[in-house]
Amino acid sequence: MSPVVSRQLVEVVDTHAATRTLPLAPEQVLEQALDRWHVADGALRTTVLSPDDPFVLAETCWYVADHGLRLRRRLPREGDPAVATTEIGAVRIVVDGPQWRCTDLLLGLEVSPGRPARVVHDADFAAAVGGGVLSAADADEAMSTVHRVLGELVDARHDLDTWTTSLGLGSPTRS
Amino acid sequence: MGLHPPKIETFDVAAGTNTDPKGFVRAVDDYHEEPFGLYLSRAMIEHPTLTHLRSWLLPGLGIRVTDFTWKPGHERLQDHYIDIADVTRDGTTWWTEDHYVDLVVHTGERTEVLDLDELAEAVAAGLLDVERAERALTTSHRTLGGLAAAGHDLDRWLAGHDVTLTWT
Repeated sequence: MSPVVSRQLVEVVDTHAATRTLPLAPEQVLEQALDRWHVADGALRTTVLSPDDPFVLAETCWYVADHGLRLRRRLPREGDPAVATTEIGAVRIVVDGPQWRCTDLLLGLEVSPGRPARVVHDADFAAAVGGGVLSAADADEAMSTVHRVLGELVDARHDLDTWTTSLGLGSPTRS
Repeated sequence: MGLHPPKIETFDVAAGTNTDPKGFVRAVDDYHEEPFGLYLSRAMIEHPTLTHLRSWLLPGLGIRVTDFTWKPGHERLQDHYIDIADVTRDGTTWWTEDHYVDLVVHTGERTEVLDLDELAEAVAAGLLDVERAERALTTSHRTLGGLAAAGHDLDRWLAGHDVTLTWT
């Protein structure tokens, strides 16, 4: 079945209210309380615990405005958190005071320890561009971001910490 | 370059010709076939900056690899030019449908990705369907990642796919 992407996804993190608002369905949003958040070096890091999720203990996100990236790790409730997959999404981030508005550009990469990074969501992305959900300019930006990051990750031998360090960020896997 | 449908080229091995996207039929100096692809060499008549091209069409990898010869004063520091393209054949006739994205390999240094904006505009305008767009993206990611992992060495990356290119 062909993928259908009907709209762009915009999440808003409000560090003043300590909330994250995620779109669920048209006219429906999910507001989550941030358990932790921290801004440093142009990046916002958030942690949201998920006590009701039988598999996921917490979700940690890094919003890196200057690089147009969102890194997301879902830490498992059981097992070694170091082996968790990291999703790297091409996004557009607008920072307005305490609000970080993050527009998903619908293309990204996945990095798992010991495995090469791989680009994900090609089909959804192409459908979104073809369906007019994503503009040509946004699509160009997303592809440029993902190609750039893919090259950087290869240079970093697919080691996430080496790559994030090269961006001036800390380690997503050790903190 | 302005918005345009995917460019289609025809390579007629039996006739020794290459019909370019504008419909001009060019004589080919040399065609050479291998299990993994088709090699051609031809002059670029009346081109403002180029005198000759040598290309390999590689259907299994979804790419066309070209080595251009430049006119004096127009040389560019690049080693190979890669078009992301569907490559098909029927008997002795081959076709390429160019899917906009190009990669320029600077051996041992870096690989540039060009014309992502053209791909995006073509998909948004309905000139390239979603299925082909997805394939173009996947091919460009695979090629870029493979080249980077091979130290931006085309021959080394291709060797991993049992492809050895010769240029004469």
